[in-house]
Amino acid sequence: MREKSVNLKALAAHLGLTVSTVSRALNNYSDISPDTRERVKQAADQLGYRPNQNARRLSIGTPETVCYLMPRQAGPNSQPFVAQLLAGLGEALNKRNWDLLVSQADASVGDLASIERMVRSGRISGLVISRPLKNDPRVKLLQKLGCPFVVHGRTADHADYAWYDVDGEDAFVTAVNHLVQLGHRRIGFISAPLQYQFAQHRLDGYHRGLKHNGIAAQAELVQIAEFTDEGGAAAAGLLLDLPCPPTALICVTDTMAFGALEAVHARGLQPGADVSVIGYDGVHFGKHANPPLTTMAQPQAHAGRRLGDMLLSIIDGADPTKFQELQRAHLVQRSTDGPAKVIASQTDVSEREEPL
Amino acid sequence: MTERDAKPATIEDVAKLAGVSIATVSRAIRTPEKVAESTRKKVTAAIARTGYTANAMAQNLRMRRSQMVLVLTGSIADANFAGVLTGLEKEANARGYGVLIGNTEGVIPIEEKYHGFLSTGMVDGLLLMTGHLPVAGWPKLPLSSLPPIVTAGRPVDRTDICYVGVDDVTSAKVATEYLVSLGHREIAYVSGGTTDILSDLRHQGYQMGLRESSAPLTDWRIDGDGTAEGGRAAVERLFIKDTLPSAFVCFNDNTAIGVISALQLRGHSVPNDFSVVGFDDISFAKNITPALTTLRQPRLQIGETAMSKLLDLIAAPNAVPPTQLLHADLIVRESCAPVKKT
Repeated sequence: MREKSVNLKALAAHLGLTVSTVSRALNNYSDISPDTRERVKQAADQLGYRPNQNARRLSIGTPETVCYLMPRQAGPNSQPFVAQLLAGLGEALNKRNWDLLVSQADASVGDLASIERMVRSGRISGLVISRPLKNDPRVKLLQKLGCPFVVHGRTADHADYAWYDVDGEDAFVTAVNHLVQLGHRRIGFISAPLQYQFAQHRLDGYHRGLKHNGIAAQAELVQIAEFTDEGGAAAAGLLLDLPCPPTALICVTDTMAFGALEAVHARGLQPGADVSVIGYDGVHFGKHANPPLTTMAQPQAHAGRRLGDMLLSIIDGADPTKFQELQRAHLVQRSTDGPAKVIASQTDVSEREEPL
Repeated sequence: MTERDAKPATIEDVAKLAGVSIATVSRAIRTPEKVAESTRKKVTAAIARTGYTANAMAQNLRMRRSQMVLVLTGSIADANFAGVLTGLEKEANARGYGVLIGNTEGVIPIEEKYHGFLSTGMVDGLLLMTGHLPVAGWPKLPLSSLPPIVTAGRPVDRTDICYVGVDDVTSAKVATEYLVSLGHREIAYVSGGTTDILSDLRHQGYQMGLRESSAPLTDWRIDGDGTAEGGRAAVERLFIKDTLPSAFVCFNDNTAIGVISALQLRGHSVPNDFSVVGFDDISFAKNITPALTTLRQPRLQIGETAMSKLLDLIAAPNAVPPTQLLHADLIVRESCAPVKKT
């Protein structure tokens, strides 16, 4: 079986020194002679002595551990997102030898209770929340508990805590402007449920973009579905089957856009030529979509690292409201955007549904 | 955010409020049967009012248990990692354990750091996904000083360590047999590199699949590197040589995506001209055109099973659990078709 590593007491006994002398030697106290320090360190190496990190952390009063709350409803589509955020967070924490704990928790009552237990247990120094709801009870809870935290995204009211987000509203204004320049006037919007603040921001941007271009918003051109490819395909299907279908579709995530592409193909239409489709996120696989997806790309790799750095600063005592960062997404033009096909939008549906 | 709110209640707060000694509070929590009913009620009420929870770190220190496990991975960005992690966390959480993540990215100094970390009592167990034991750093500790270990997703070459992962050999054999059953006789294996253990296992499975065929088939291995770009380059090299198989078994989905895109760029149709099978079933596999036929990694199940075995091992360190290889379903979509008659 595995050996018990020696403790400080055994190390001191081996050397014939007091525990306090050995401890001071290992911590490089100058009141211990260099010879003794060297002798103690050699013996520590030989015997395999390691200070108990938990004991050290308990004595310095900080767990040096940060917790990332993984979205519980993380289907396979969220996995690249989670992985990327974890990698960035780990990088930021590594610089200071802090540890990263993961836990799954959304905003349900049961999960709130387990978040509270974790914070009160003294095991963690701070938390990272992602994909917040408009009114996210986790934010209120952590404020009440006085536990440092950062949010990836924003809630509706986001004035008094730290967050990092990409300006989804601005991105969708850009997407609408781009489509209008290509001649589109009838633009469909495919959204995730609006309880998620990111979906609301992007819908606001869509509306602002339409207004800016003097186009009246029409309720029938907005479809809300689960943010999966199946959801995107279903929503796109409903829009494309309207008596007067849109000539372009903009989707709140790339995954939904992949579904929308399927729906376009399924109707015998060509994305880009017959119907334009624009996604949001800039996931790596977008360039392998058929055809390669035009999207609003966000600087994703950056997020985890920034959130980690921000959280460490807040734990060190910085004012959380000083850390509110809004990044911009940019248009990546591939092959799914093109000039509006006037005929497609104004022809009777039955004409298009003739067998090819 | 007031100072009072921020500070968690201590056992002293509970004792003061209940009007009893700290020792009595401790007894009322640990051995309630030894405390008078009326005292126990007072303490319980005080605990409820203060919101006291025992400091887990202090408690764990006394019990020489951290209730933590370390998940050590070589790459968080790996297509399967987040899914396996979800299973690991689920099982750990259900059994009262926390999950720490260590990402080495194959960098030696980072491995050394975690190796040191493992010998300091920070965690009760190690869930190893890097494919090798952590590189020894300072001081050079014997392996026996490491906590209980279970490996997942990537085996280490040791019979005394439990491994949980997909059955790479059988899965690749199934993929190959499927192509043989469609009439393909010239089937290439696009590897994930020359040094990848998983790629070697899948290559073995592919070879076994070839042997199952009634006609003698040739082992035709071409090397990718596990990325779409690697798959594309591997196919480009075949075009230069002007010798092409009719089907491809790919190390993973990324490779298959690259293979398909290279074939399409050359004006060929998948599956009419060439059949392609992937491995993993990443979320994007069904979104490419044609939708990819592939083997589905049971990611969640790998995570749950591996964590369950690790926690069992922590509870009973002498009983090393047996290695378990999990089944991968062949997900038939649109990237394979019967071989073209020539």
